Amino acid sequence: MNLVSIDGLVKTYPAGNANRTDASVTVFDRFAFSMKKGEFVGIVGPNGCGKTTLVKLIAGIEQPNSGSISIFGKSPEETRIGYVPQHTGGILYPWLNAVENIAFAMAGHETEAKAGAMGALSELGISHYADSFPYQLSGGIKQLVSIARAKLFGPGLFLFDEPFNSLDYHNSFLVENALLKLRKENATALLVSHDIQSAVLLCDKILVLTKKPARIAMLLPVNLPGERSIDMRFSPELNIVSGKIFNALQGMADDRIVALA
Amino acid sequence: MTGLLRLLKPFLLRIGLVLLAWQAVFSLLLTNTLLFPSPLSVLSRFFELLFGMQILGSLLSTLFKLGVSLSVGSVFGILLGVALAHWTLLYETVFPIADFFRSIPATALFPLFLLVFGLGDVTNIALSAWVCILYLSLPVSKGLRETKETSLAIAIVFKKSNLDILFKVKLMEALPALFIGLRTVASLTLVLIIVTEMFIGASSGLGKELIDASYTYDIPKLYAIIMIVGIIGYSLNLLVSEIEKKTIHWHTKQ
Repeated sequence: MNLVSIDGLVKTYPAGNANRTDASVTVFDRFAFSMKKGEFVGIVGPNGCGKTTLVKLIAGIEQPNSGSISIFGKSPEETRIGYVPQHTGGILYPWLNAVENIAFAMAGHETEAKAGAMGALSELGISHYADSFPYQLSGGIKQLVSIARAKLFGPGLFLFDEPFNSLDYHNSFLVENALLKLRKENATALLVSHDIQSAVLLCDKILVLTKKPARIAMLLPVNLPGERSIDMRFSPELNIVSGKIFNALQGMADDRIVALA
Repeated sequence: MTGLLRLLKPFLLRIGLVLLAWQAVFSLLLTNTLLFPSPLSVLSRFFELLFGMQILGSLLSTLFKLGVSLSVGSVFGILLGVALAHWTLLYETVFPIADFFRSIPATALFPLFLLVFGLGDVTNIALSAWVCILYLSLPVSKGLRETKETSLAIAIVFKKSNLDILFKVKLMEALPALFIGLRTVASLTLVLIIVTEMFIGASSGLGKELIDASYTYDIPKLYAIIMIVGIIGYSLNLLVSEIEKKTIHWHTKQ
């Protein structure tokens, strides 16, 4: 059974919306997609093709015009989803310190929530940042706190929207490690990223989207030998897969590739 | 005590320099000594008024009116701000009208408030509270309506209730806007209280003391009361500033 099932998805923004266009914009037009439990699926595509919109639709933050999205057979509103937004959007509440930001995800008594939050921070090896506020944290640590918050919520599905955005090499390394750990724990995740190599390293398959209205240009299984680790970043197998994706994206930029389905 | 002196030292040094300059101007007869008395006469009048309890009643009257205006104005200002933010139709109707009223000098509304509330402290308080409500509700409503998309998205995904979203996300994010309003109303309210005490036939208050001192040509008293009003205004701004630093330290350091 598929964990996530999207069928006939239509999403249109009216004129003058975020895209600041005079006409309405159709992001998805009868889009279909599915993923299984325990899969890490990467989504790549040109800027503005609808990757973040897809994440928001699956998370239940936005509503489709028509079509269905089901997770474990339920609607997004009925499902616990671990959402890690884009770093540039302000992923943590600035008035809460790290442990309070994580505890925010939990319902119930404040003491229990904070104890759970401390546990989540310790798992990621960043418990010493518990009392720090977001303005005191680097981008990578903020992402780790955001991941800990999503994990504590106990979701069946993780949604990562550009987790490596604006991060330097060291901070990207921290986040990549955290996601590899989640992968080892058989988490189910959708990962939107412009960082193709990280997406290939972390994911079981990569979905390449076209420009709007977004369709699937390519669905590429990623078969890397052995258990995934940071060292594989420089492996020939990873580079071959990355090369195929890069060519597909370049083909779209040259308008050679329109859609697979 | 040593710590306190060290803290006050630069402040006291600057005041000392100002007093020296003032004394120099007075001693060198560079200005009309009736209208510009010596710092010594002003300071001795200052201490006499304050510690001799001569203006205690007026001081307490002004502070009471200030406190009530700010409290009532802040509470209703914030409530109105929340209401405006919640109902788009109300916001779109009321905001431009309120913005227009904000452009009218509050002192121009004296006669209207006098007609409605009559002579006395109620008029003073009503006018000052009205200004508070106006100057707070607009930034609060704007702050609430401009909550970041990501902040709301996180709360939605983590299944927070509408009340939780209002109090734990929207209001928290609107706090910087609220404090901008508070800093404005703190100064403005004191100005209005003093001015209305001067011109709306108040029975007590520092504004009344100022007018009385000017009518009787008690110039050192006039200067002394101005200093007291200045200390109240400065302390109020300092208080708001300190509360702001402690409450929204995360905003000032971002």
